[in-house]
Amino acid sequence: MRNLFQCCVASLAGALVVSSFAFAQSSPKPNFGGPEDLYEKLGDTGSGGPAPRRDLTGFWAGRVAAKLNPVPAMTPWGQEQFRLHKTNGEYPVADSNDPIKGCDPLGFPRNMLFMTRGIVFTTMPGKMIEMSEYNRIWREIWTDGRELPKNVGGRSADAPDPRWYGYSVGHWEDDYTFVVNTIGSDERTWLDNAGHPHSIELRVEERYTRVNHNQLEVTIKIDDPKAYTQPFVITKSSFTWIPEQDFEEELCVPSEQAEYLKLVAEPAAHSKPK
Amino acid sequence: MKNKSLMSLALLGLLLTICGPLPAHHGSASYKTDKVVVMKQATVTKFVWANPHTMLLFDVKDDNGDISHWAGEAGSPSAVRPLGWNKNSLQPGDVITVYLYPSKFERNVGRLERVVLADGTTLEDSPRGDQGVLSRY
Repeated sequence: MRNLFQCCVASLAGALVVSSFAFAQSSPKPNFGGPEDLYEKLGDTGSGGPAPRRDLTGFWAGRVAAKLNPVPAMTPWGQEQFRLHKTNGEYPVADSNDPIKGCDPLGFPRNMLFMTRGIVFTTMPGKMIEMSEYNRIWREIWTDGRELPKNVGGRSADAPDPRWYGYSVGHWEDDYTFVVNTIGSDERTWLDNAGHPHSIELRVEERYTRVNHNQLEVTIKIDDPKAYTQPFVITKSSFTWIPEQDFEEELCVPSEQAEYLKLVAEPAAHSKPK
Repeated sequence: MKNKSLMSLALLGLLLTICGPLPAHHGSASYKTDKVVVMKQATVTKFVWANPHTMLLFDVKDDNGDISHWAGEAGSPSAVRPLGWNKNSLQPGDVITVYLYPSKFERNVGRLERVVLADGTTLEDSPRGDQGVLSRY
């Protein structure tokens, strides 16, 4: 009788486990495949009519991360920098040395390759302002015809210092394509999430083409002879006009990140101390 | 006594079920991405709507009545808001079911796969296979 009881109990427990297993395996994920970002949620918004002439003004939705092309061969200097970078994908978050682990700035051009859920363009006299949803970043893109500064990061007293987001100038190539050239990005920032490096010699060209009212495309070209053996196009990505002209607030908050590292990332990465 | 044993085993089956394999779509080096731990009757103790990682702290009681404290991470508010979450989706005291990719080191932490509220509402985490680690943010 006791054996029969044990058998019944074991069978029931097994059935429950199998039942739960089956539930977890076969139950459709109600939201799986749901929108990952506003860009995906908006979907095909149509053209919205023709693009206005020489105008990018407004709020635009993009993907969390741009799809990146492979980088060309790195120089020995580039390879050494790359070797030192421990990415979040390759290492547990707690053990990575990705600058953003501590909420350091993404820097340019990484901010145009990652966390690109939302961008904004507006104009001021003599400049275009480009802003990002993530960390409420802004870049000043001079359009008054000035040249880019020279000798950024040099030792002379008049040499401009490197900046997290560099120095940018822009011009309209035609009525619908705005071209931005940037130099002077701080070497502490990574080029991308894969930990590819860049040097102070980095020059970036962004070509923003407003295809129609609702669609904006950008092509980003990297030229960094100290880090890479040849220039390359790292991405061609798309943005969609946001009908509400608003988006989420998205800030990397150091105190929240510290709490996350303490409560989750560090325990997740290591065995419990004995 | 028999009923107690039966209930204990039933609770065991309900409380902690290891399922697998599931798509390894996290790209996270810390978690077992081929297994999901299912914890039923979990009680929310704190929900942190934070960047770059939303965090859920919760308690789970085993069949002996012992309580273990857990922490699960999900995507950033911007990542999970389009999936139906907001800052007040989870409140301390809520009794929920947690689906979680556990730590490789047997710690009481993990990456949320989804949580199911008492009313059946499912809150899915944001990871996607085509984005890997990027969609953690």
